[in-house]
Amino acid sequence: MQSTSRRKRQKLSEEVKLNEAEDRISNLPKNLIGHILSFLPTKYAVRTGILSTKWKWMWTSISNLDFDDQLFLHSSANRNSDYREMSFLKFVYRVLLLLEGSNINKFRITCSQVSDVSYVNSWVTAALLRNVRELDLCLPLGSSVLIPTNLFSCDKLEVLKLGSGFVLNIPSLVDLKSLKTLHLSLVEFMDEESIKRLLSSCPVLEVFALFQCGGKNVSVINISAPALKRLIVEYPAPKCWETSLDEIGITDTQDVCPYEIQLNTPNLLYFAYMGLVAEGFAMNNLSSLVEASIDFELCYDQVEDRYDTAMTELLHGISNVQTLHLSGDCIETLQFYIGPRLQVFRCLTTLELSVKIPAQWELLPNLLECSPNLRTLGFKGLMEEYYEPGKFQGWYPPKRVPTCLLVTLEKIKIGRFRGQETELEVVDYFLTYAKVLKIMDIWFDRYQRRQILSEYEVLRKLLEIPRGSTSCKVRVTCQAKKKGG
Amino acid sequence: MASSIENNNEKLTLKSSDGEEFLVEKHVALQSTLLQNMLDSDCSSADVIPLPKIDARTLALVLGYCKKHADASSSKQGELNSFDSEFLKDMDMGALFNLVLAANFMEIKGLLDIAAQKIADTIKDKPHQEVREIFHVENDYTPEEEAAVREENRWAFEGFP
Repeated sequence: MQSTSRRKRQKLSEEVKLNEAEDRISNLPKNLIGHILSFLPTKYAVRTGILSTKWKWMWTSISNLDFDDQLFLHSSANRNSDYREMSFLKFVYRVLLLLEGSNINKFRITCSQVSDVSYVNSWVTAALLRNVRELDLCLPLGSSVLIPTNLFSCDKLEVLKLGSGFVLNIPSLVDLKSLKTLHLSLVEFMDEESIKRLLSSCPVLEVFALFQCGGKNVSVINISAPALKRLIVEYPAPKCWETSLDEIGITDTQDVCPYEIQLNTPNLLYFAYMGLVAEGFAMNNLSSLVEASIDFELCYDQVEDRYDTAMTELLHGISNVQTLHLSGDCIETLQFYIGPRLQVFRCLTTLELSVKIPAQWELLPNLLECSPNLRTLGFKGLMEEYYEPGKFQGWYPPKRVPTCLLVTLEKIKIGRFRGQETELEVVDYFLTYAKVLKIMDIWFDRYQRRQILSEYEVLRKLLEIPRGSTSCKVRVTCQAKKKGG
Repeated sequence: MASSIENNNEKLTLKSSDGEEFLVEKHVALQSTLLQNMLDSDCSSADVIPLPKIDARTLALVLGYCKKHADASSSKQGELNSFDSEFLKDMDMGALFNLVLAANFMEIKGLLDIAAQKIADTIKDKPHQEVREIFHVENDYTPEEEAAVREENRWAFEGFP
């Protein structure tokens, strides 16, 4: 009896083994294999040609092309750069030549070296001929390639991402009927009109990200886009090694983004600005704005009135948002330049702050006083670094309790809590004075470098704090350890 | 006479290759372009729609995916993303192939994409010898032919053994 069942089991496991050993992938329909291989960088997709004779031409049915000349090249790093460039260019040509389908979904190419820019025109044309839906191009900084003009009359293109190496020169109105997403990163603008014309040629553009773009002849960047919903503008302080940023009008000594940013975006829902304070902000037509995120980089060297004016303009433009994210540097900058003249945010219901150092607490009472309808207050962390108790005056409790604490503030979220003395003071203040608070959510950072208090001690201290709101819950969650952390 | 779907309170019955029947709400079935086209063209007057290429185990998984996506509102994208990444976790290769074939046949784009991505991730970054082993692909090239494929696509093999 026993031996029969064992024999049965053995037979069963052999069958399973047989099934497991079946080559199922090679027997999938070719279009399905093409779809699977489209999720790989093209280099990997083409490599599958070596698996077996059946696979030799499978890759030709891919619909996404993704070329990066730096991908997995460590072992050939010793070859000379001309060889590497030729080898890469030949590869791109061969793929474009042998591709089966009549349509390309995505075409991405990133290359760190291209000595003959006429290649770029051929790539773009090849992609356009196949009705490309998403195009993503990036060349070496300083290549100064004029964007092929046929790109701007492509009515199938939905996503366009242009990286460094391109010059935007648009002499007349163009036609990008279907373009929904536009990313420009380190692109040089020939003149102010070019960017204006480009945007006015995209009637359905919804997402626009502008990263460190500009030009020598440019002082105003005008973003007028009727359908735009999300806008992200970023001008980080240039690092000293980025010498070729000269072309886009930004030098390494810059302490301010040298452009005036003008918005005319009546349907904008989300606006993010990161980096150096711009020369000026003209914020028109932002009546739909719901959410904003501001992250200035600090530039203490020069105290100038123009920062003050620019920041006031920016804040004025976003004064009707419901959700606002502010970085610690931004809070510090605002404190420094705007201080007590902060405007009121009438509609603001959610405020999220990431505070890095104790000095950045200074503006908080002011911010709370200016947010009379605040319901949710979030801190990404109360402090980035460990500060010895008593060494810094970290927390400046408001001189009088801000209105929102008495009337509207229902939820407080605190991330990366470490149980430091200053942090406990902050928690103490809010638990005591927030009269209608329903929940305080604390994410305890278990894996900090220096454990100040044990979890138990922190919990005990939290429990001791008297609560201004009788219905307030305090929820403490221990953050899970990050992988590899 | 109205079609069985309308009679059946906006539900339809799908039958797997191994004969199991699944009663499905119409809005869930609409996640599949194949079924949507059938409903639109009213080919669905039959009481039961047979899916002869999909077994019950796979069909149950497919319908679980469709239900989650049909019921979630668009504002819950984050929740759907984490559902998607959990959905294929720890799934064995055999089940994954059944699923990708079913999604391809039933034209369920989201499911097709996550399953294809999962298979692609298995191929990525691995030397071809290892890919052959994982998927039991038999190498029927002669050494000369194999060398020729390598030579033709030289850049694709740069950096690989």
